[in-house]
Amino acid sequence: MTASSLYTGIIRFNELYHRRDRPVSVDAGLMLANNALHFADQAGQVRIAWDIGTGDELQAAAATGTTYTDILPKLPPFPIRLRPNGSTYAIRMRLGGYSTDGTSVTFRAVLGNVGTGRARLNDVEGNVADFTTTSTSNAWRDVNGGSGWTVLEYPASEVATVARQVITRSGDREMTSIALFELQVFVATVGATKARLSGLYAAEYWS
Amino acid sequence: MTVRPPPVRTALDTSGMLTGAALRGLQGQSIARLTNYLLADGWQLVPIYAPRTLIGRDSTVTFHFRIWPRYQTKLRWIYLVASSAEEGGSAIGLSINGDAQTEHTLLGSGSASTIVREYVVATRSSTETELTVEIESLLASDEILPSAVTIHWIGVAEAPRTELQTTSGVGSDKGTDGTTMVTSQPLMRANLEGAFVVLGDADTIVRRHVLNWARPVDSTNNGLFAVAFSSTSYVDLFALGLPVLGRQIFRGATTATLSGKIYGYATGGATFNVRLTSSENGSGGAVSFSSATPAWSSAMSLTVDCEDLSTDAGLQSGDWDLLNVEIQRTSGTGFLQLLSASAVA
Repeated sequence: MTASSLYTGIIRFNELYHRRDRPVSVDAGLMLANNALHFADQAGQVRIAWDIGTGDELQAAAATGTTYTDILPKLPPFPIRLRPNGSTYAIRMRLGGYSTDGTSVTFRAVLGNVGTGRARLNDVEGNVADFTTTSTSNAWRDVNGGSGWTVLEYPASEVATVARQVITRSGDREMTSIALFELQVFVATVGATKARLSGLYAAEYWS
Repeated sequence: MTVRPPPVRTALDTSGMLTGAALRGLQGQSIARLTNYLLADGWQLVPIYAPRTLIGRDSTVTFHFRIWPRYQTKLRWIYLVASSAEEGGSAIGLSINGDAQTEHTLLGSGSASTIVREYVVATRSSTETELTVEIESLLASDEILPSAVTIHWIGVAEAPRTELQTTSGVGSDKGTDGTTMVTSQPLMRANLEGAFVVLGDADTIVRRHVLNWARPVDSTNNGLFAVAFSSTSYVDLFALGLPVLGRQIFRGATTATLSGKIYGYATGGATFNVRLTSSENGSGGAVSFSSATPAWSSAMSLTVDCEDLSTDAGLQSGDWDLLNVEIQRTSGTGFLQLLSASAVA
């Protein structure tokens, strides 16, 4: 991660100290700027947080796709924060799963604009990650192996927004553009019936 | 007065802010824009999860969530993914926080449908509160075969604001109006009033819901889908534990504090200890729970890892901290029917 603030932490201040009858100094401005930047670095939201109890795994009903089969039902969409250049905040994700009998299974997570689904299945822009395992033990899996993480990103040129109604200050409605995304999980057709999905975690972060 | 916040995070260049000089209008506007963006963009109140709930015909179930909302929120979006086993399809009614207007949505038989339900916030507040989601399963045809509606996924997100009030007192949006900052004129406190008020309080501007899991009660307050606990040793709710990272607020901080509660009821007069646990930082203090009817517990706190902005992963020590809920029976012979667990950073 790369901190964008000057101090990598907020600066405590007593807001009453800055009196209303004096010009705001650059020192005060730097303090406000530092805090705004640090809060923006920490504004990432947890979008998906699911871990099973006993017997709640999801699986592909049957191997149906030519290369990848859907694990249904699909997840709903979620809003995502955008950076100044229009690309998305990075998504730090983890996927939980295992193989029922030791057959190699591969889960593919695909981050895309809402409604794109399979259209993004073979993207090479950092929004697709494969998780492969032969383990019969339930555990969080990572592309990097072990207890690491997997990062998904979406380039600015590919971000598409959708129109949604929101409420104005006066209580009326107006249309605005929202970056609405979905994270879909597929499983490689070879071994699909042996794959069990047991957890998903996806959280934004500033990088 | 109102201000239009930007829909994306804006850049803020501090390189031109020289100590000893006055803060310029353009620099003040940069601070205002980023602050307004942070106030306007919504939080994820319920991270998407799978409740795996079946609702019988003509039945109503209620999910209970605990949220810590933004004051600026006027609209929430509730996302459901549901499917019907009914040959003729089903209809489900959605009501939020018991509001009188129940919206009905038709579900065809077979594949799951994504439903979006808007909820206009009647009374805005930034204090901790409960959010209930009532789902009613109806029969959309004269079919008499048994029906089932399955709720596969749930998520709740705040809608962004496209306008903010620029007043700063209690009960206001606390937006900052950049149009009052005139080039070549010194900025006074009033020009940046909103920024001065909000930029010292993390809870106003960047909360993070790390856990909001719920199984519903039926119309008689029975937890048909509750997870039952009766062991006299601590037992985890989740199989693996949820990855968790708190906010790093102060320089050099390596941990953050979560606040959480559970919702459920105890049978047979039993009493339970409930606590949150961190795989990297140990267990939080336990609270006692013995309510015989569905109720929220006392607040629990837990120390978890916070983000490390100096590393690629953002992880403290390179390992993921995993959050769990643990329950232990301390007296009696009944069960704790656990219905909800919520935690916020």
